[in-house]
Amino acid sequence: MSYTRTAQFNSRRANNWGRNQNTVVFASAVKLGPVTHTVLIALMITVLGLIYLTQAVRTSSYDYTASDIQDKIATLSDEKKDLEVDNARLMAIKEVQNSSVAKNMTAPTDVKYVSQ
Amino acid sequence: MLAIGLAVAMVLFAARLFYIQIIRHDFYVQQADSEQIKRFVLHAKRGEIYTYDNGKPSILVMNETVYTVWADPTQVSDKQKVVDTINRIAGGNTRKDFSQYLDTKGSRYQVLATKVTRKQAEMLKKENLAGIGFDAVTQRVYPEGQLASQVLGFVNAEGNGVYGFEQANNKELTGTNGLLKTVTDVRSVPLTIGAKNINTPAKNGKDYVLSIDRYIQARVEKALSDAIIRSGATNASAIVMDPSTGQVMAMANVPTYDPSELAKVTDTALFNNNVISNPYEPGSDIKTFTIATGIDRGVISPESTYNNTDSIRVDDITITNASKGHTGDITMQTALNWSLNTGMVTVAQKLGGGGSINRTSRDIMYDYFYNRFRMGQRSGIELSNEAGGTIIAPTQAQGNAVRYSNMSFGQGMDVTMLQVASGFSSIVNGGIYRPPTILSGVMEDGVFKPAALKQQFPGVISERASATVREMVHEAHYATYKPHNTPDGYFIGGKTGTSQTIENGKYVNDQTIGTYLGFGGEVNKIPRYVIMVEISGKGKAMGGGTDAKPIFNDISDWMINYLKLQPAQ
Repeated sequence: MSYTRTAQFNSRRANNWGRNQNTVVFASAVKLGPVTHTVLIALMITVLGLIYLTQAVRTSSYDYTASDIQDKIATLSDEKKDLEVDNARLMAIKEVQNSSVAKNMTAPTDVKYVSQ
Repeated sequence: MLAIGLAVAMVLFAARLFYIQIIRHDFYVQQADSEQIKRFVLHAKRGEIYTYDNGKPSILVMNETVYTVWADPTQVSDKQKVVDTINRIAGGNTRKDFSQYLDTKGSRYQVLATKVTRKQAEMLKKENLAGIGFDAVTQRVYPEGQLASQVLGFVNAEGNGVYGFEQANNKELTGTNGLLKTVTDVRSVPLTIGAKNINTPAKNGKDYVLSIDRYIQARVEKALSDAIIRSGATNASAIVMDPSTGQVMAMANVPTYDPSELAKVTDTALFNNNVISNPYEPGSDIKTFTIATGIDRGVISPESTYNNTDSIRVDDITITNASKGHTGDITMQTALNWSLNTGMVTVAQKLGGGGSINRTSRDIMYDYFYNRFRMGQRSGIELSNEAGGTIIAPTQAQGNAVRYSNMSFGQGMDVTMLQVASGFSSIVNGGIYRPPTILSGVMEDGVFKPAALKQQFPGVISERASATVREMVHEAHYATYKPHNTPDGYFIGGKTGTSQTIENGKYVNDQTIGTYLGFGGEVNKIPRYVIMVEISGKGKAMGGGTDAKPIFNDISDWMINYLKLQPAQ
């Protein structure tokens, strides 16, 4: 059985390295050229751009949620105001005077006063 | 070669980007902003107005969003459906024969219905009618109808207050609009991205609480309307004040108008608040002021006597009494009871130390009438169109003895009802002039905050003089035109006034203004209310005792119960 070395190790002992120091350095056999570098950088920029867009879209989705909530608040506020107006109209003096309850009331005949 | 090609391409891209992003930066930013950034006006809500009913604020003027329904005739596809639907849902709000506007050529905006409620508008929107649009409009709502309309004024189509409280306090009621400047999407939904967003919230107008009590106001308006029917007069006005605070509890004029139906008003004079805007010769009501001046100066007392001959000479004119026969040595109380002009001229003479209305007596009268009781000048009440009136000073040529003899019984001077009621309040409240006010406070986040007190002016007359005048006016109230139904045990006082009117520069005897000025409250206490009433009509002789006093009694008797006054045992 034989083994074939696929990686190359350069001993640093030959360079008189001191004790407790690494004496082996890894040197990849794969070499990247300028085109690869450019493509990789472009890819990285694209990925970062996509991340930014994802975040921006996510933020915008909150805006739509907020906008919907604002619309609901406005609608509820309008409905509340309508009810307040209806309530005020029903509580108006003439309305109360003309109510069946008021019409059935009688004037007091004997009023006595007490000291407070 | 590939590397070189790519490098060249990169350089070209970089150069182009440099041109776009650096050199043309401002241009493209501006273009982007104009497309993406929108400005929205955040409309401030107009302040609402409350009454103050026995210590509790009640809404009197509100805001409501209503809709104008309009059509773009070029886009309406099914005219009959539009007509039927609008008639069914908003039939009471349509323009007359509105279907004709759907045939209008060359127009893309035709109003079909106005003041449509939100509910109606939502129902119409659900019908998906082609060519039909909606405009939201904010309008004032008056749940109490015409109540206190001349005090309130109204808001015109431009959103500005006109007349009354709305005009005088327009700026504070209007508030300040806000601004939302933001990046939006294609549907104009605001987005939070963007460093240029501006959000300045609107500052709503103040919610004011008037000192008007709507129950008193309604009762006063009813009393005036009843009086007009009873007497045949055409105009009547009244004011009810709290003499201890200067606050106006009611202020009314009849005829009046409904501010929600302005289109029906044909006479703009109805918008005027005659209580503050219409100076007139007050007549005999002013005798209470002359008596107060004389008593405070110590020249008369209720028991002081003078010889009444039913006429008195001042310079080259003779002044006579309207009520004759109470001749001989009579008291000042009798002179007040029977409203004798000669008695008041005598007081004016005594102020100068003797037998004529000299400069000293005129200076004293002017000091009291103008400086202390503040008649003939604006009071500063928070309402628009307040008139000042006229009190001629003794320094002027017209401020002579004849003028001041007339002023002692309420002629020769122009004042408003508000001025008379305010001055009278200072006479009966212990001698403190409290400037009249229509304001109780403001509502902040639904909580009532009382308004700061206005500056007070004590020492108008002494407390002792005030108490004496109260007793004299109380006796005068029961001396003539005796009230029949007023319950016993209360301290009521008042004075009649019947003023001649001037037509073409001359006094007219068959057209008089009837007034009554009085107070009411518990025995041995400062009065709880001051009421002044005026009634008049074109060609009508209205009397203070016959026509105005019944209105006073009507209101006063009701006030006793409303304020839960305690009768003396």
